[in-house]
Amino acid sequence: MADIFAERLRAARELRKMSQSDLAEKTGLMPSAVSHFETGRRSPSFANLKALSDALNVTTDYLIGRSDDMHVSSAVSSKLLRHAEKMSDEDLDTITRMAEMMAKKQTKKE
Amino acid sequence: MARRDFWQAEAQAAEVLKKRKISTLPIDPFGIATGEGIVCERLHGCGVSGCLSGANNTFGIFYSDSIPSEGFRRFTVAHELGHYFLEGHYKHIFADGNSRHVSDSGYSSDDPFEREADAFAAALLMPSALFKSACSRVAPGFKAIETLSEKCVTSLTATAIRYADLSDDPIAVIGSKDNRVQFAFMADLLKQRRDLTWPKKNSGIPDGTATHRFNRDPKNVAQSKRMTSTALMDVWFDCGGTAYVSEEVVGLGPSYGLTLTVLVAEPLRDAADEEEESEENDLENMLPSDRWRQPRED
Repeated sequence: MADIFAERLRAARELRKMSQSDLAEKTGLMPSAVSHFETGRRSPSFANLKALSDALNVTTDYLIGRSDDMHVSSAVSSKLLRHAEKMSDEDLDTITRMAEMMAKKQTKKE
Repeated sequence: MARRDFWQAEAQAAEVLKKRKISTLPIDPFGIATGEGIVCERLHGCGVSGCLSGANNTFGIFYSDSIPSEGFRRFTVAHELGHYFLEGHYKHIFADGNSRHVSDSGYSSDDPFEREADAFAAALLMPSALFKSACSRVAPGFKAIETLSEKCVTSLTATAIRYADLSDDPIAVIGSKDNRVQFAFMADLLKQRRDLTWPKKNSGIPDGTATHRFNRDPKNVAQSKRMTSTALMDVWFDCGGTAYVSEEVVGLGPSYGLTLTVLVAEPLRDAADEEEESEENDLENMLPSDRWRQPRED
Protein backbone atom coordinates (compact mmCIF):
# COMPACT_ATOMS: atom_id res chain seq x y z
CA MET A 1 0.00 0.00 0.00
CA ALA A 2 2.91 2.34 0.77
CA ASP A 3 4.17 2.09 -2.83
CA ILE A 4 0.76 2.97 -4.25
CA PHE A 5 0.59 5.95 -1.93
CA ALA A 6 4.10 7.11 -2.89
CA GLU A 7 3.33 6.80 -6.62
CA ARG A 8 -0.07 8.44 -6.44
CA LEU A 9 1.15 11.30 -4.28
CA ARG A 10 3.86 12.15 -6.79
CA ALA A 11 1.46 11.73 -9.75
CA ALA A 12 -1.20 13.95 -8.15
CA ARG A 13 1.36 16.60 -7.22
CA GLU A 14 2.72 16.66 -10.77
CA LEU A 15 -0.79 16.81 -12.18
CA ARG A 16 -1.48 19.90 -10.09
CA LYS A 17 1.88 21.31 -11.26
CA MET A 18 3.21 21.74 -7.75
CA SER A 19 6.76 21.30 -6.51
CA GLN A 20 7.39 19.40 -3.29
CA SER A 21 7.98 22.77 -1.61
CA ASP A 22 4.68 24.15 -2.94
CA LEU A 23 2.85 21.15 -1.55
CA ALA A 24 4.69 21.38 1.76
CA GLU A 25 3.74 25.05 2.07
CA LYS A 26 0.11 24.37 1.23
CA THR A 27 -0.18 21.53 3.75
CA GLY A 28 2.02 22.88 6.55
CA LEU A 29 4.29 19.85 6.23
CA MET A 30 8.09 19.96 6.03
CA PRO A 31 9.39 19.66 2.44
CA SER A 32 11.49 16.71 3.62
CA ALA A 33 8.29 14.94 4.79
CA VAL A 34 6.76 15.26 1.31
CA SER A 35 9.98 13.90 -0.19
CA HIS A 36 10.03 10.98 2.28
CA PHE A 37 6.39 10.17 1.51
CA GLU A 38 7.12 10.10 -2.23
CA THR A 39 10.09 7.80 -1.82
CA GLY A 40 8.20 5.53 0.57
CA ARG A 41 10.65 6.12 3.39
CA ARG A 42 7.87 7.38 5.66
CA SER A 43 4.18 6.56 5.90
CA PRO A 44 1.71 9.39 6.46
CA SER A 45 -0.86 9.72 9.23
CA PHE A 46 -4.54 10.21 8.44
CA ALA A 47 -4.03 13.87 9.37
CA ASN A 48 -1.23 14.11 6.77
CA LEU A 49 -3.35 12.26 4.21
CA LYS A 50 -6.24 14.65 4.73
CA ALA A 51 -4.00 17.72 4.37
CA LEU A 52 -2.36 16.28 1.23
CA SER A 53 -5.62 15.27 -0.40
CA ASP A 54 -7.21 18.66 0.36
CA ALA A 55 -4.21 20.45 -1.14
CA LEU A 56 -4.19 18.22 -4.23
CA ASN A 57 -7.98 18.05 -4.64
CA VAL A 58 -8.01 14.27 -4.58
CA THR A 59 -9.59 11.96 -2.03
CA THR A 60 -7.65 10.17 0.69
CA ASP A 61 -9.07 6.92 -0.66
CA TYR A 62 -7.44 7.57 -4.03
CA LEU A 63 -4.08 8.41 -2.46
CA ILE A 64 -3.92 5.20 -0.44
CA GLY A 65 -5.20 3.02 -3.28
CA ARG A 66 -8.68 2.29 -1.94
CA SER A 67 -10.26 3.95 -4.97
CA ASP A 68 -9.05 4.29 -8.56
CA ASP A 69 -11.08 7.40 -9.27
CA MET A 70 -8.49 10.10 -9.55
CA HIS A 71 -10.97 12.92 -10.04
CA VAL A 72 -11.97 15.05 -7.18
CA SER A 73 -15.50 15.51 -8.34
CA SER A 74 -17.20 13.52 -5.62
CA ALA A 75 -15.37 15.14 -2.72
CA VAL A 76 -15.48 18.70 -4.04
CA SER A 77 -18.99 18.53 -5.40
CA SER A 78 -20.36 17.21 -2.13
CA LYS A 79 -18.59 20.08 -0.35
CA LEU A 80 -20.01 22.60 -2.84
CA LEU A 81 -23.43 21.03 -2.54
CA ARG A 82 -23.38 21.42 1.24
CA HIS A 83 -22.66 25.14 0.88
CA ALA A 84 -25.05 25.55 -2.03
CA GLU A 85 -27.96 24.25 0.03
CA LYS A 86 -27.60 27.28 2.31
CA MET A 87 -27.33 29.92 -0.48
CA SER A 88 -29.93 32.21 -2.02
CA ASP A 89 -30.84 31.86 -5.73
CA GLU A 90 -29.03 35.13 -6.41
CA ASP A 91 -25.82 33.89 -4.71
CA LEU A 92 -26.06 30.59 -6.54
CA ASP A 93 -26.31 32.44 -9.85
CA THR A 94 -23.24 34.55 -9.00
CA ILE A 95 -21.18 31.55 -7.95
CA THR A 96 -22.18 29.58 -11.07
CA ARG A 97 -21.02 32.42 -13.32
CA MET A 98 -17.76 32.67 -11.34
CA ALA A 99 -17.21 28.93 -11.73
CA GLU A 100 -17.75 29.19 -15.49
CA MET A 101 -15.20 32.01 -15.71
CA MET A 102 -12.63 30.09 -13.65
CA ALA A 103 -13.10 26.95 -15.74
CA LYS A 104 -12.58 28.97 -18.98
CA LYS A 105 -9.44 30.53 -17.51
CA GLN A 106 -8.07 27.07 -16.63
CA THR A 107 -8.84 25.75 -20.15
CA LYS A 108 -6.89 28.66 -21.71
CA LYS A 109 -3.88 27.92 -19.41
CA GLU A 110 -3.82 24.27 -20.44
CA MET B 1 7.23 -2.25 20.30
CA ALA B 2 8.65 -1.74 23.77
CA ARG B 3 7.19 0.89 26.07
CA ARG B 4 10.32 3.01 25.63
CA ASP B 5 9.75 3.05 21.87
CA PHE B 6 6.64 5.20 22.18
CA TRP B 7 8.61 8.42 21.70
CA GLN B 8 6.75 9.07 18.44
CA ALA B 9 3.40 8.93 20.23
CA GLU B 10 4.71 11.24 22.95
CA ALA B 11 6.18 13.69 20.41
CA GLN B 12 3.08 13.65 18.19
CA ALA B 13 0.74 14.31 21.12
CA ALA B 14 2.96 17.22 22.23
CA GLU B 15 2.90 18.57 18.66
CA VAL B 16 -0.91 18.39 18.50
CA LEU B 17 -1.19 20.38 21.75
CA LYS B 18 1.49 22.89 20.71
CA LYS B 19 -0.16 23.60 17.35
CA ARG B 20 -3.44 24.33 19.11
CA LYS B 21 -1.74 26.33 21.89
CA ILE B 22 -3.28 24.09 24.57
CA SER B 23 -1.36 24.46 27.81
CA THR B 24 -3.82 23.84 30.64
CA LEU B 25 -5.51 20.79 32.14
CA PRO B 26 -7.86 19.14 31.48
CA ILE B 27 -7.28 18.55 27.77
CA ASP B 28 -10.46 18.28 25.67
CA PRO B 29 -10.09 15.44 23.10
CA PHE B 30 -13.60 16.12 21.73
CA GLY B 31 -12.61 19.72 20.98
CA ILE B 32 -9.42 18.58 19.24
CA ALA B 33 -11.43 16.14 17.11
CA THR B 34 -14.00 18.80 16.21
CA GLY B 35 -11.20 21.22 15.27
CA GLU B 36 -9.94 18.59 12.82
CA GLY B 37 -13.39 18.23 11.29
CA ILE B 38 -13.84 14.78 12.88
CA VAL B 39 -17.35 14.01 14.01
CA CYS B 40 -17.59 12.35 17.46
CA GLU B 41 -20.69 10.27 18.14
CA ARG B 42 -21.85 8.03 20.98
CA LEU B 43 -22.85 4.61 19.76
CA HIS B 44 -25.53 2.58 21.50
CA GLY B 45 -25.00 -1.12 22.20
CA CYS B 46 -21.48 -1.14 20.80
CA GLY B 47 -19.38 -4.13 21.87
CA VAL B 48 -16.07 -2.26 21.67
CA SER B 49 -14.88 0.93 23.29
CA GLY B 50 -14.26 3.01 20.18
CA CYS B 51 -13.94 3.19 16.43
CA LEU B 52 -12.33 5.42 13.80
CA SER B 53 -14.10 5.57 10.48
CA GLY B 54 -12.95 7.30 7.34
CA ALA B 55 -13.90 7.59 3.68
CA ASN B 56 -13.34 10.29 1.09
CA ASN B 57 -11.68 12.79 3.43
CA THR B 58 -14.38 12.51 6.08
CA PHE B 59 -13.51 10.99 9.44
CA GLY B 60 -15.62 10.06 12.41
CA ILE B 61 -14.97 8.70 15.89
CA PHE B 62 -17.61 6.57 17.54
CA TYR B 63 -17.44 5.55 21.17
CA SER B 64 -19.57 3.17 23.14
CA ASP B 65 -22.27 4.57 25.42
CA SER B 66 -21.70 1.59 27.68
CA ILE B 67 -18.39 3.05 28.89
CA PRO B 68 -19.08 3.88 32.53
CA SER B 69 -16.65 6.71 33.26
CA GLU B 70 -16.03 10.07 31.66
CA GLY B 71 -12.30 9.43 31.98
CA PHE B 72 -12.54 6.22 29.95
CA ARG B 73 -14.70 7.89 27.28
CA ARG B 74 -12.17 10.69 26.92
CA PHE B 75 -9.33 8.16 26.75
CA THR B 76 -11.18 6.20 24.06
CA VAL B 77 -11.60 9.32 21.88
CA ALA B 78 -7.95 10.27 22.49
CA HIS B 79 -6.92 6.72 21.52
CA GLU B 80 -8.81 7.01 18.20
CA LEU B 81 -7.18 10.41 17.67
CA GLY B 82 -3.89 8.54 18.08
CA HIS B 83 -4.80 6.36 15.09
CA TYR B 84 -5.61 9.56 13.18
CA PHE B 85 -2.46 11.52 14.05
CA LEU B 86 0.18 8.77 14.14
CA GLU B 87 2.19 7.95 11.05
CA GLY B 88 1.56 4.62 9.38
CA HIS B 89 -1.63 3.77 11.28
CA TYR B 90 -3.77 3.98 8.14
CA LYS B 91 -2.16 0.78 6.89
CA HIS B 92 -3.09 -0.99 10.10
CA ILE B 93 -6.61 0.44 10.18
CA PHE B 94 -7.51 -0.31 6.58
CA ALA B 95 -5.47 -3.50 6.40
CA ASP B 96 -8.59 -5.66 6.13
CA GLY B 97 -10.14 -3.54 3.38
CA ASN B 98 -12.68 -1.95 5.72
CA SER B 99 -13.40 1.75 6.05
CA ARG B 100 -13.47 1.62 9.80
CA HIS B 101 -11.42 0.28 12.60
CA VAL B 102 -12.60 -0.79 16.03
CA SER B 103 -10.44 -0.52 19.13
CA ASP B 104 -10.47 -1.67 22.69
CA SER B 105 -8.47 1.13 24.27
CA GLY B 106 -7.11 0.96 27.79
CA TYR B 107 -3.85 -0.97 27.78
CA SER B 108 -5.57 -4.31 27.14
CA SER B 109 -4.13 -5.10 23.71
CA ASP B 110 -0.77 -6.58 22.76
CA ASP B 111 -1.01 -5.12 19.24
CA PRO B 112 1.80 -2.54 18.84
CA PHE B 113 -0.46 -0.08 16.94
CA GLU B 114 -3.08 -0.25 19.69
CA ARG B 115 -0.43 0.19 22.34
CA GLU B 116 1.02 3.16 20.47
CA ALA B 117 -2.47 4.72 20.26
CA ASP B 118 -2.82 4.15 24.03
CA ALA B 119 0.55 5.86 24.57
CA PHE B 120 -0.63 8.78 22.41
CA ALA B 121 -3.88 9.06 24.40
CA ALA B 122 -1.98 9.09 27.70
CA ALA B 123 0.46 11.72 26.43
CA LEU B 124 -2.36 13.84 24.98
CA LEU B 125 -4.56 13.83 28.09
CA MET B 126 -1.68 13.85 30.60
CA PRO B 127 1.06 15.90 28.91
CA SER B 128 4.44 15.22 30.48
CA ALA B 129 5.31 18.78 31.65
CA LEU B 130 1.86 19.63 33.02
CA PHE B 131 1.51 16.21 34.66
CA LYS B 132 4.96 16.35 36.28
CA SER B 133 4.32 19.86 37.54
CA ALA B 134 1.02 18.77 39.16
CA CYS B 135 2.76 15.62 40.43
CA SER B 136 5.47 17.58 42.25
CA ARG B 137 2.87 19.31 44.42
CA VAL B 138 1.51 16.13 46.05
CA ALA B 139 3.11 13.47 48.24
CA PRO B 140 3.73 10.13 46.48
CA GLY B 141 1.00 7.50 46.79
CA PHE B 142 -2.63 6.89 45.90
CA LYS B 143 -3.66 10.42 46.90
CA ALA B 144 -1.38 11.77 44.15
CA ILE B 145 -3.07 9.50 41.58
CA GLU B 146 -6.51 10.62 42.76
CA THR B 147 -5.56 14.31 42.57
CA LEU B 148 -4.01 13.93 39.10
CA SER B 149 -6.99 11.91 37.89
CA GLU B 150 -9.31 14.77 38.90
CA LYS B 151 -7.07 17.39 37.27
CA CYS B 152 -6.71 15.50 33.99
CA VAL B 153 -10.22 13.95 34.02
CA THR B 154 -8.72 10.54 33.34
CA SER B 155 -9.51 7.16 34.89
CA LEU B 156 -7.62 6.05 37.98
CA THR B 157 -6.02 3.20 36.01
CA ALA B 158 -4.76 5.39 33.14
CA THR B 159 -3.56 8.03 35.62
CA ALA B 160 -1.78 5.41 37.76
CA ILE B 161 0.10 4.03 34.74
CA ARG B 162 1.14 7.52 33.59
CA TYR B 163 2.13 8.32 37.18
CA ALA B 164 4.45 5.32 37.30
CA ASP B 165 5.92 6.39 33.97
CA LEU B 166 6.65 10.00 34.96
CA SER B 167 7.10 10.02 38.73
CA ASP B 168 10.46 10.99 40.24
CA ASP B 169 9.65 8.95 43.34
CA PRO B 170 10.38 5.22 43.89
CA ILE B 171 6.83 4.07 43.23
CA ALA B 172 5.12 1.19 41.43
CA VAL B 173 1.52 0.54 40.41
CA ILE B 174 0.03 -2.91 40.00
CA GLY B 175 -3.40 -3.83 38.69
CA SER B 176 -4.71 -7.24 39.76
CA LYS B 177 -7.74 -9.43 39.34
CA ASP B 178 -8.43 -12.71 41.18
CA ASN B 179 -4.99 -12.31 42.76
CA ARG B 180 -3.29 -12.36 39.33
CA VAL B 181 -1.24 -9.43 38.02
CA GLN B 182 -2.98 -7.69 35.09
CA PHE B 183 -0.37 -4.97 34.68
CA ALA B 184 2.62 -3.68 36.59
CA PHE B 185 4.50 -0.44 35.97
CA MET B 186 7.30 1.12 37.94
CA ALA B 187 8.95 4.52 38.10
CA ASP B 188 12.47 5.04 36.74
CA LEU B 189 14.00 5.04 40.23
CA LEU B 190 12.88 1.44 40.73
CA LYS B 191 13.63 0.36 37.15
CA GLN B 192 17.25 1.38 37.68
CA ARG B 193 17.62 -1.20 40.45
CA ARG B 194 19.01 -4.43 39.05
CA ASP B 195 18.23 -6.43 42.20
CA LEU B 196 14.44 -6.27 41.84
CA THR B 197 12.43 -9.09 40.27
CA TRP B 198 9.44 -7.41 38.69
CA PRO B 199 5.90 -8.92 38.95
CA LYS B 200 5.00 -10.22 35.48
CA LYS B 201 1.58 -10.19 33.82
CA ASN B 202 -0.53 -13.17 34.95
CA SER B 203 1.84 -14.03 37.79
CA GLY B 204 0.32 -14.45 41.28
CA ILE B 205 0.10 -11.62 43.82
CA PRO B 206 2.59 -12.50 46.59
CA ASP B 207 1.06 -14.27 49.56
CA GLY B 208 1.20 -12.29 52.78
CA THR B 209 0.69 -8.88 51.13
CA ALA B 210 -2.26 -6.58 51.85
CA THR B 211 -3.26 -6.87 48.17
CA HIS B 212 -3.48 -10.66 48.47
CA ARG B 213 -5.67 -10.40 51.57
CA PHE B 214 -7.81 -7.67 49.92
CA ASN B 215 -8.41 -9.70 46.76
CA ARG B 216 -9.57 -12.76 48.71
CA ASP B 217 -12.89 -10.98 49.38
CA PRO B 218 -14.58 -9.92 46.05
CA LYS B 219 -16.75 -7.44 47.99
CA ASN B 220 -13.65 -5.31 48.59
CA VAL B 221 -13.30 -4.69 44.84
CA ALA B 222 -17.02 -4.34 44.13
CA GLN B 223 -17.54 -1.86 46.98
CA SER B 224 -14.40 0.15 46.11
CA LYS B 225 -12.89 -0.46 49.54
CA ARG B 226 -9.38 0.62 50.49
CA MET B 227 -6.61 -0.82 52.61
CA THR B 228 -3.23 0.57 53.66
CA SER B 229 -0.33 -1.45 54.97
CA THR B 230 3.43 -1.87 54.81
CA ALA B 231 5.31 -4.82 53.41
CA LEU B 232 8.87 -5.95 53.16
CA MET B 233 10.18 -4.93 49.76
CA ASP B 234 11.56 -8.45 49.48
CA VAL B 235 8.03 -9.91 49.51
CA TRP B 236 7.08 -7.96 46.38
CA PHE B 237 10.40 -7.89 44.56
CA ASP B 238 12.39 -10.84 45.84
CA CYS B 239 15.33 -8.53 46.47
CA GLY B 240 16.40 -9.54 49.97
CA GLY B 241 17.16 -6.89 52.59
CA THR B 242 14.95 -5.33 55.21
CA ALA B 243 13.65 -2.26 53.36
CA TYR B 244 9.91 -1.63 53.47
CA VAL B 245 7.34 -0.37 50.98
CA SER B 246 4.05 1.30 51.86
CA GLU B 247 1.19 -0.54 50.17
CA GLU B 248 -2.10 1.17 49.32
CA VAL B 249 -4.81 -1.06 47.90
CA VAL B 250 -7.99 0.24 46.25
CA GLY B 251 -10.93 -1.63 44.69
CA LEU B 252 -11.93 -0.01 41.38
CA GLY B 253 -15.60 -1.01 41.54
CA PRO B 254 -17.80 -3.61 39.87
CA SER B 255 -17.51 -2.32 36.28
CA TYR B 256 -13.76 -2.86 36.15
CA GLY B 257 -13.39 -5.61 38.75
CA LEU B 258 -9.78 -4.55 39.22
CA THR B 259 -7.68 -3.87 42.28
CA LEU B 260 -5.11 -1.10 42.10
CA THR B 261 -2.04 -1.34 44.33
CA VAL B 262 0.36 1.57 44.79
CA LEU B 263 3.73 0.74 46.32
CA VAL B 264 5.97 3.52 47.60
CA ALA B 265 9.49 2.45 48.54
CA GLU B 266 11.66 4.17 51.11
CA PRO B 267 13.86 6.85 49.56
CA LEU B 268 16.69 5.02 47.87
CA ARG B 269 20.33 5.68 48.55
CA ASP B 270 22.54 4.94 45.60
CA ALA B 271 25.91 3.23 45.86
CA ALA B 272 27.80 6.45 45.00
CA ASP B 273 26.17 8.28 47.93
CA GLU B 274 26.99 5.45 50.31
CA GLU B 275 30.58 5.29 49.12
CA GLU B 276 30.99 9.03 49.47
CA GLU B 277 29.50 8.93 52.95
CA SER B 278 31.72 6.05 53.88
CA GLU B 279 34.79 7.99 52.67
CA GLU B 280 33.70 11.01 54.70
CA ASN B 281 33.35 8.83 57.81
CA ASP B 282 36.76 7.31 57.19
CA LEU B 283 38.18 10.79 56.91
CA GLU B 284 36.53 11.86 60.18
CA ASN B 285 38.00 8.86 61.98
CA MET B 286 41.53 9.55 60.74
CA LEU B 287 44.26 11.14 62.77
CA PRO B 288 45.16 14.65 61.56
CA SER B 289 48.53 13.35 60.35
CA ASP B 290 46.81 10.64 58.22
CA ARG B 291 44.44 13.21 56.71
CA TRP B 292 47.44 15.26 55.67
CA ARG B 293 48.82 12.30 53.77
CA GLN B 294 45.59 11.76 51.76
CA PRO B 295 46.15 12.46 48.04
CA ARG B 296 44.55 15.72 46.95
CA GLU B 297 42.10 15.81 44.05
CA ASP B 298 42.26 19.10 42.15
